[in-house]
Amino acid sequence: MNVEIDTSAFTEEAYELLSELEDSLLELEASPTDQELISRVFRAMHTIKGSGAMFGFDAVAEFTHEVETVFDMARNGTIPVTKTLIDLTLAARDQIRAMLDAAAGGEPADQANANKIIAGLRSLTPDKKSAGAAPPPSGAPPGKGPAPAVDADEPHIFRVRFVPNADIFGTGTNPLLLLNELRDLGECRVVAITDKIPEFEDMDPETCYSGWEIFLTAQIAENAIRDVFIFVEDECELNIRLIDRDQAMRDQQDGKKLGQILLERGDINPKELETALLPLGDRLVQAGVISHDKVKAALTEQQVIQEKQDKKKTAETATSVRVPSDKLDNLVDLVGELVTMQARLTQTANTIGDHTLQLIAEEVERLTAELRDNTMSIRMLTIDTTFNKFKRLVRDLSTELGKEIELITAGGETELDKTVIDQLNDPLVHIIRNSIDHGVEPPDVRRARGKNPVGKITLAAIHSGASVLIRVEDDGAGLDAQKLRAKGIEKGLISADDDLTEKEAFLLIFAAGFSTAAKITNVSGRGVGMDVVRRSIEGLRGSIDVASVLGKGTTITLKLPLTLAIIEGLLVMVEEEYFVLPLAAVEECVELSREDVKKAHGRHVINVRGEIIPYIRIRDRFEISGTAPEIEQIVIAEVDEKRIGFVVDKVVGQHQTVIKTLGKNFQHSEEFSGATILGNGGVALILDLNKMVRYVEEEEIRALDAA
Amino acid sequence: MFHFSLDSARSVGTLSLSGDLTIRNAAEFKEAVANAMDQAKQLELNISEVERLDLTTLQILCAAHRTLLKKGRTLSISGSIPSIFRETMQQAGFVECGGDKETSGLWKGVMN
Repeated sequence: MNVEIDTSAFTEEAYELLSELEDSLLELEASPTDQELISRVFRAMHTIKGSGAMFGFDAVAEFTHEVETVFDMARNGTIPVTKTLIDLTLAARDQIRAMLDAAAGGEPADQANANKIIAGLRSLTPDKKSAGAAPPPSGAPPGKGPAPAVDADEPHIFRVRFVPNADIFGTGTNPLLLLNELRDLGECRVVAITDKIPEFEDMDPETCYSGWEIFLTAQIAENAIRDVFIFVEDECELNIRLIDRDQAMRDQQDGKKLGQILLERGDINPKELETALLPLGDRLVQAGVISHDKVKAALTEQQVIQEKQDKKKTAETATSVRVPSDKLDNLVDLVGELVTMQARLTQTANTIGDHTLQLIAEEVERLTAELRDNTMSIRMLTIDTTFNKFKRLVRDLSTELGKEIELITAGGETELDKTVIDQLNDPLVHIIRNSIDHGVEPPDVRRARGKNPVGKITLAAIHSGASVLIRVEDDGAGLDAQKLRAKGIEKGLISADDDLTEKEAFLLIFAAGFSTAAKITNVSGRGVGMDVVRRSIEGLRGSIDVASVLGKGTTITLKLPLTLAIIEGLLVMVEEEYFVLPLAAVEECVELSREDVKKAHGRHVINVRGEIIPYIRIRDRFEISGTAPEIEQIVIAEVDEKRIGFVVDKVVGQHQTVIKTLGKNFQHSEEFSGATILGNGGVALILDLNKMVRYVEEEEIRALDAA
Repeated sequence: MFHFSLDSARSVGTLSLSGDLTIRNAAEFKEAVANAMDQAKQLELNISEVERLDLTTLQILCAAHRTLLKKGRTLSISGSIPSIFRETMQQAGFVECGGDKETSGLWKGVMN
């Protein structure tokens, strides 16, 4: 057969599995006895191996098989989960990735490295150890911990065997009420085991002959089940077992065979099983080996597990659809065009003044708005994937530099536009590298300073209006404003008599070629990184803020817009020119009369309800000719936590602004974050308020200095 | 509480049960069933008037059913089945009580 197999499905899945593998490994490092995590690692590798072989990635399958074999031993408790094992498995994960990249046309993977990893892994296995060929794995507690830890993140299936003592009725206990309590915990299947009920003549009506097997699917820990039986503990036989994890998952493909379940439960022995042929259940009952109830219970067990797996599968298919991102980009572009067209339709309808047409235009407007919101929400991704990548970065870098650093992430569920997330990666890498290298001190220094030897870096995302704040906080040495100033003068970035505020001094770290590091490491200190950060963040229409306490730590906050494609804007006019101000920043509009201007004695300030607010005249700023109207409008916006006014002739109203980027050769283009097409086909420039204010301030300071 | 009647042919006996059937009168209940079993070849139970029952009730019925089956006789339910009966059986997991499939007739229809 000569069939072209589409391997992209495999590689995509494999990349996903690899990142899951990485996360699990890092978590496993923190809790090496967690059986669930070990299984997760194992499953990820198992799937990569299986589908790799299926799609003809034999090298990947072979290599993964070797790694999987060793990890299987860890899973069975034959070898402990040690740092060495995790290091090697992480290296193996990178190797698999390299192999996949190579298959996709990247650089060929390093076979020597693969061999080294496998050799390293093999040296961990016990048969080598007994031969004395390899050093025994060091440190960490054995992999087979006490009971497998049960976390409550997904429902588990418990098998509860409950056999009350014969005289339980005598204590006034009603076993049925206990069963009801179990039902309150989750989805319950109850099967009564009644084979102890004797012949009618021999039975004592007040004796309990019944026992139960209960299959409980619930998001709880085992103790919650024990609590139900707490008062009858001494009056019954109770056996609780988690059945979905340690056995069922191994046979994920087809669930468990009935015979296997009966065997595992010790209801029959293998010989009895062999003698009975299909249909197994009935034969066993007829042979008098087990009772009908036990078969029923085992069948229920099979069914419950199967149902859980089915449910999981449907949940997985229901939650996501894979779409290439350029299709999404196309969709967004189209929605942008539509928004523009809709604005034109609304305007035309209003000009014509036909009532029916206006109604249609309104309806289109509503639909367009919904379509826009939906499309935008499709592009929104949670930031946790990005955050998770840094766990690895922090781990590797801190080891390399001989530091101990813990990375704490918060707000991983915060959603941001895909483009923003994609472009956020590099800046964050630089900031975190910087924190690790220059921020957090080595353990002995930290100890000497009375700090916890383990440094802490917190990575958090917070929603704030139309922006998202990304905060990188370390508890390291902090920034020294004096030193920064000195360095800035030395590098010629500022002049010796410049009067810098602390904040301005901190921001110097983002200047090109600026580095205070005494020595250059391969991590940072070349004075390139932070400059890149500033530029990429500004490219995203974001801003940077630095706060630092010497000796205590540094916090770098990135403020980013939620989306880059479409924003809500306020459309204003100066003469015949249209401008858009981002509505998120706008606070209020007030009038500015000639009278007000006169009162301010030539200074560009206005008194708004007792508050003095400086303003910028757009007309003057962009040298627009003509005379201002008798009464102008001031749009007051929040810029860098200050209230600043922008004087325009006329406020037109709210406007759905589809942002189009400007070409590079426009004068003043730094003060605009783009342009948008209006309903009448005209163009409006979008003002970048932050930059505009900064430029005006700089110019005024220069003018004052000159005077 | 327990009322027993035989048809004229003395082959089908009907035991009508009503009110509470719990551990408090489990002994009496068993006695009544035993008497009925002695007198009739085919035993029918009318449980339409039962107001309360518990595990002991189910155990007694189950044992009676099994013993009768072994002797080649039958036990069946006549009349309507009150919802309390279904609920209790559901709670107790006595869904297919009564031996292998062909003879589990006693509860057939109770749960459906």
